[in-house]
Amino acid sequence: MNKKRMLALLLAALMLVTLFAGCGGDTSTDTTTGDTSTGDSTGDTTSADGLVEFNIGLNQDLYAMNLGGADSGMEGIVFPLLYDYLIYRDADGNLVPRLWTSWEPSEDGLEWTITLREGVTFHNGEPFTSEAMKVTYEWFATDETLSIHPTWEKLQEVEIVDDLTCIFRFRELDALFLNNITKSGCFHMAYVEPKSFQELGVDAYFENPVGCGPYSFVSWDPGNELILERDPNYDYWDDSIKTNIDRYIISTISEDMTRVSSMRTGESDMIISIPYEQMETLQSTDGVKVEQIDGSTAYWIGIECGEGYVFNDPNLRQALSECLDRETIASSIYGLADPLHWLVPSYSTCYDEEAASQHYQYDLEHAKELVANSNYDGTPIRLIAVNSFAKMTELSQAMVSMLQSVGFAVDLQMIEHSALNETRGSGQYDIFISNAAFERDASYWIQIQVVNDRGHFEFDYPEIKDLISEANQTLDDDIREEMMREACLQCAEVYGPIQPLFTMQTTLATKENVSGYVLLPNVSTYLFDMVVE
Amino acid sequence: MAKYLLKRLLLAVLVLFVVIFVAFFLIRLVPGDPVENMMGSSATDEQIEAAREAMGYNKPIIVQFGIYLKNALTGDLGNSIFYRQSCLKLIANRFGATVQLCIGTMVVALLISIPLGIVAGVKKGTAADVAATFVSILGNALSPVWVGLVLILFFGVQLRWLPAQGYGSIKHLILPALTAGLTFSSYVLRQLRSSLFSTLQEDYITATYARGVRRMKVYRKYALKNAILPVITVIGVGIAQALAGSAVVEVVFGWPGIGSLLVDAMGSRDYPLVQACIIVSTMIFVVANILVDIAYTIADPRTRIAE
Repeated sequence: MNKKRMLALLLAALMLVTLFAGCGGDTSTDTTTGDTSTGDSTGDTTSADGLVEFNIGLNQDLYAMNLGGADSGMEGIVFPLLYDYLIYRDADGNLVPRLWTSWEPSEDGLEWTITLREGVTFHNGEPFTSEAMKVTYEWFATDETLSIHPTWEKLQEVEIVDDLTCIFRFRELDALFLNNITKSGCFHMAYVEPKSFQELGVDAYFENPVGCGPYSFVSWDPGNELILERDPNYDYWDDSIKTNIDRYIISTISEDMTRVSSMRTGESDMIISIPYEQMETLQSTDGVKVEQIDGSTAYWIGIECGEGYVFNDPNLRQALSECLDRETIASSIYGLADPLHWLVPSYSTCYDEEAASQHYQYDLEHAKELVANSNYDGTPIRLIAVNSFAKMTELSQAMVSMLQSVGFAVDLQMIEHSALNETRGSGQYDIFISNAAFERDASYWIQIQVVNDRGHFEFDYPEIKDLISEANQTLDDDIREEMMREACLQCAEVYGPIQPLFTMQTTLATKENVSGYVLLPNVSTYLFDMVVE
Repeated sequence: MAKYLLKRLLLAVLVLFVVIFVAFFLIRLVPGDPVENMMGSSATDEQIEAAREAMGYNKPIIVQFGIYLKNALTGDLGNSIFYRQSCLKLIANRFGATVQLCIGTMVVALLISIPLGIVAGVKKGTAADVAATFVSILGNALSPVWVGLVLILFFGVQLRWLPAQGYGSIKHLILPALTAGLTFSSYVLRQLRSSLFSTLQEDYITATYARGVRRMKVYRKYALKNAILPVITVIGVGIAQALAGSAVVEVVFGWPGIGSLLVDAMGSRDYPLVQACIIVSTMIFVVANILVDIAYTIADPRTRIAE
């Protein structure tokens, strides 16, 4: 009996320990076991058939090779390999001709004359001509079911002048035309081979897409891996690219810890999006190097500024901004983040470093004073947070605490990302937390959010909205950027309708014998000169 | 048997209809709009509305259901809004991986649960029973996420015996199967333990001992045959569940199965894909139940006589 009792007690103790050990484990947030042992990530990159193989682990799957589908943000890494670039925007923002060699606007900006590079062919041998531009972009412009359609809605037609010259003709001025063409992380750099596209139809064509890039499509198993192989005919026009990689195997490893483990074991040669808790582990792994740069993804809060809402009062919006300790949030909660004091991150052209240093600053005492002297009656503020964003539980709880410290009552609601738009659209919120990946030219994003009121902010400042609308009608990049900077400044001075929080750093890990790639803030990576020693 | 099968098939059709109805309307009750999610944050409200109109989502809900039902009955479960591919094709592409994981899970689960279940059932109340029960509780209590990550760290990173993730070979299957199998083995083990112990208390077993039949023969020939019957049901349901997708294990190991496809589809409110996954999963359960019933009649002749 004593033996049995002892065994039962032992079992109970072990169960308790196991129960606590087994609790938790949200696959989307940190799941480190505190393992900081050094491993060794060697792993041969030569395949059995003698080709140099390179494995990339992405944190998210491509949704579609079909340009009509939704983009996942991973296209900026994958698509250049298959399609090359029409125009490449380098790390300094310079436009480098690739498949387009020149692009000239008309005086009124409604037409763009494009010259294509001579002698380029698709992987199936068909020539790359103006017909490809016409078929592709008129498809984007006319099919309202495509996620890419909003960007090309203003396009009226693409006129073919000759095989290597075409004219993009717009119904109304699209000041962001070049910005759209050079956008990475989505479909804008891609195009179709017109003959196959029209013969096979959309669905069948994208089962085996063709481009003009250095790598041709081999296979794609959604959720598993995409395989691209070096196209032997590519060097005919660009023998300057230095890469020695023959085959890319691009896998989806959405679980952070698994992705990091795959780097440590050598299964992956490159991974992106490294969680802060795993940085030290990876940095101490032999044979692995980690890179981090200022990123273009920013977290921000949207504010319902309409009549009858708490934050209709600009003083309370100021109190909101001043009670948020962005430095603490960025360093303590996220680690790989930098506080942001401007509407857009530093990657964007309308960022103003000097003005940013004077706005959205932390001032707890002044925030308390503003709340105390206001007409705020203690109504709980509805704070909406998306549960699938990284560390959203920690961030939202920190924000609740900061808001409460200055006198706000808060009702925190965690919702799914898919439900955010509906919640915003119905006005059932006071503030929500969101994020966005910014392009170099953030004009369109600012237009959509502030002028088109995508977030249902009810921001009643017509002079700011007019300034933004006018900027988006300005073809001159420098003038447009200056106008946008002014618009951001005016938004900062009235603390609405969006307040920045922090920018995430962009991270990437590779094996030490890999060089020549260029990591860009928006996660896309220039791989054409990447070499594996 | 033929009559029985026909009856079950007719019932299956009814179940399918109900599931199509429920899947269609239930997903639409959840907040979130698939078109808005697909178009992204850079689309205006007008553009989203135009897309919704073009894709038929502005039609009356009952009309949308009618169109969907008509297509579904001809095997067309629609195209994924996000992937822009046929839903059935997307599911079919992942079915092989799901079947592999299912088989691996069952092999691991049965290898753990059958021997331990027999030991526990035969030696109830002893240290062996306690140990077996402990394994069962462990399998139930431990989060598959935690188990999977620990296995990756140990076998993948530390020992370098097995890959941390991926799909394509037996080596890739071992850790995911171990993770899912450990959880499932706890159900089989407990069921077998309880069932075997009850069977061993029966009078006919006592009579068998009295006739001088050796203990091992009693267990093997008399007790286990009857005790295994409820276990068949549990295993059948487990196979159906595994075929419907083990989302958590798939996400942890990057295993391209149906479970993770459904989770992604739910997250993005990809209505056609969610509906298709639910319908296919239901059919798997229905078929599995029919097969379990057939297996039951084979294992237990009394069921055949009763029919």
